[in-house]
Amino acid sequence: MGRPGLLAARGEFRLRALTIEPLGLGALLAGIDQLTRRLAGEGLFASARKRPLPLFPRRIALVTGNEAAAKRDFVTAVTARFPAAQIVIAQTYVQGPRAAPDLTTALADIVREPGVDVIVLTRGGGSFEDLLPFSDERLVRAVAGCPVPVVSAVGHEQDTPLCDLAADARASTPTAAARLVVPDEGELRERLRALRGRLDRAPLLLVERKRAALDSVAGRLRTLSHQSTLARGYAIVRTDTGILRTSSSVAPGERIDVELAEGGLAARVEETRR
Amino acid sequence: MNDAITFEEAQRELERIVSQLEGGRASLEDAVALWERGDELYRYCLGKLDSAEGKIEELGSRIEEARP
Repeated sequence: MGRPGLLAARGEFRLRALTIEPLGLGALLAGIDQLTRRLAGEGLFASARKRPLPLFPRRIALVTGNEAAAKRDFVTAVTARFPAAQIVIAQTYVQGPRAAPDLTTALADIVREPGVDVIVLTRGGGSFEDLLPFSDERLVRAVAGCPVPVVSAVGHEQDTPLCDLAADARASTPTAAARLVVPDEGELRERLRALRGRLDRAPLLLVERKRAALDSVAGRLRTLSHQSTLARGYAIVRTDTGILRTSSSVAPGERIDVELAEGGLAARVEETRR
Repeated sequence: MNDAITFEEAQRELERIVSQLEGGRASLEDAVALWERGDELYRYCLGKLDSAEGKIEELGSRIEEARP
């Protein structure tokens, strides 16, 4: 409410605002703001609630309006990345008073379709009022409570309808949503091929690893047994031809080498006994 | 192979088997069984990619009918 005033002497017309009442867009914004805070308070938008999207969805559900562009963009992008994609489309009103209940029903219907493990909710750009159904409390709750993950691709980048916040993932365009819900088939095949290669090399690698471990244990065992014998007071006597086992293999005056537990001796044979 | 397993689960299990074999954590006795399972998983994933056929269905008409 305001009061106009004319100051004739100064040639001014004034409009003085006395009270401010929410009306039109302002009232809508205030309502949405309130709803946002209430739902956020319930934890509906919490990141802990967000579920991961399937890497390889069996069936993708698309809930969209009858505008050709969003649907075409999505289907084109999905099939380009992943030709084998299975898509089931539900068309609903996406604007006007019937949109919110219609979208909610479509969501409930499509989730019952066999094999659907991700849902994409999409609508092209529009005015603030056009996108209002996507901030409807029933729909927002249905998105948050949906048994399969939901991707919201509503309006343009700058729009944030509440279903965007409640969804498990959001995309700025139907094309971006497609990239979120299907893998690139080429990449998928490449990854599989790499795994196949690693799988085939793995057994040899494993055997080599085991052999190396065995060799090292065997080496340690050899040193250990030989060392422990020396430690008990034995000695190893060697000549140029190897380990000396019998006195007849050596003659007086010959040089011998004696290995002890610690250190060794270079010696000469004085006398041999049988 | 059990068809209840998803592509994703199969691929993840394959990755786990490969790194288990590469990491040398498996015994030689287990390695054979692991390799066979890995081979099976690889074939399963590839089969899923090869056999899948794209399909686009409209559910719109049913929703139209359901509308008063």
